[in-house]
Amino acid sequence: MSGSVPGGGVKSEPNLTPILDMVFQLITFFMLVINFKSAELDLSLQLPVLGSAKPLPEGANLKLLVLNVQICTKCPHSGCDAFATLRRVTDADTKKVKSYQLVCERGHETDHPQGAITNGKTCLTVYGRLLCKESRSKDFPSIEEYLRSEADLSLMSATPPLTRDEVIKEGKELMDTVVIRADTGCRFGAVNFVIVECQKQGYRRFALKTGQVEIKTGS
Amino acid sequence: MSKRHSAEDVELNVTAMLDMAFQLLAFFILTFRPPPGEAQIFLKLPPAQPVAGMTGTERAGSDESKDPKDVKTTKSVVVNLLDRDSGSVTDVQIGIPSVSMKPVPYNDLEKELRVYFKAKEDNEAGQKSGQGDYEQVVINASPTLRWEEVMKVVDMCTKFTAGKGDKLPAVSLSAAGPDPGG
Ligand SMILES: [Zn+2]
Repeated sequence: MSGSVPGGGVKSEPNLTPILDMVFQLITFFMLVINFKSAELDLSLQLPVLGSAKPLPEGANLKLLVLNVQICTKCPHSGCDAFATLRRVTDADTKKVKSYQLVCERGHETDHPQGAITNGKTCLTVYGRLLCKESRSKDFPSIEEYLRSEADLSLMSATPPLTRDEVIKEGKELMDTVVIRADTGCRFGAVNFVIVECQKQGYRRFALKTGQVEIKTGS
Repeated sequence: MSKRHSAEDVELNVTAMLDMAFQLLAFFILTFRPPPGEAQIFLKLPPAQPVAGMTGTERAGSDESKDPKDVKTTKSVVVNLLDRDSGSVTDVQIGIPSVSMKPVPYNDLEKELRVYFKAKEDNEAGQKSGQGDYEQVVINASPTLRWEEVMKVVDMCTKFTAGKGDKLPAVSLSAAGPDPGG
């Protein structure tokens, strides 16, 4: 009789505790590796690829201000007054760009014939918001206002804290590094505008981002 | 099991918890994106016209020539990049603006830059040669030029001006006009 009942006399229930442990460990792993920093990176940008650029040194404790520089234009969708940026649609297999779209802040997608926006506006992408040279509303400050508020934070967190006058009049510099992530299709004037605005706020250290290079470990 | 626990015993329902845990796991796996393998060129870019009374604490990569307290001036080579509104480099000029700007083919730019910086390398190697000790390249580009093209030249210049140790390359950027975009 005992052989006919599966599991015999002891009622066999799979012990789920180890699997639960393991799943929680996996969750912990993914929670730890989740990269909140990459949220401020606009991954739709295509960065220039160069030989001499180096990956960020391991353990470099730099305070970074990441600026995604792009060109935007009015959303072509009728009745939409948001701004749109160019998106490259890549083929899933070949990873080659097969077409271009304009994607606006509200999510409208419109096909775009070329891989560049002509006569577009200079803009910064900040967590999905497009900031232009002019302020659009309270939530969409101008590039200058945005950089000023970032600089104010940097002034306060400097040791010892700096004042705006010390930076503007006495030429003290902010220690933060401005990371310029500019799209390859950006015109130089747009990038230069952003750099000059940063300089006005007291930033002196810049890192010009380039795209994928083979990552060398060590050195 | 029922032998050890009475019927009223509350047992934690591990299955439900496991379900939830799997859902969380699925969420984290699906939202996981490996960080992009990006690199960068670090530059120290002081403003084009520093305000008076600036302290002379800036070292590498800085345009110290406008600093009144600094006796030594940084000798800069200027590279003009013109694009005739095409977005790509059409004309390149290299030289010292107050002396002469020499048009060079784009492909020869690296060679021309080497002429200016070779003297420096020679000096460091203990050989004296007449050419000046140029320390900085100012890239003066048309505002309509594509960023990619500017970065190629920045890349070229960092090879010559890369400082020793943790000094930053002495490359400075300026635009030959305002940003055309609104
Ligand atoms: Zn829209």
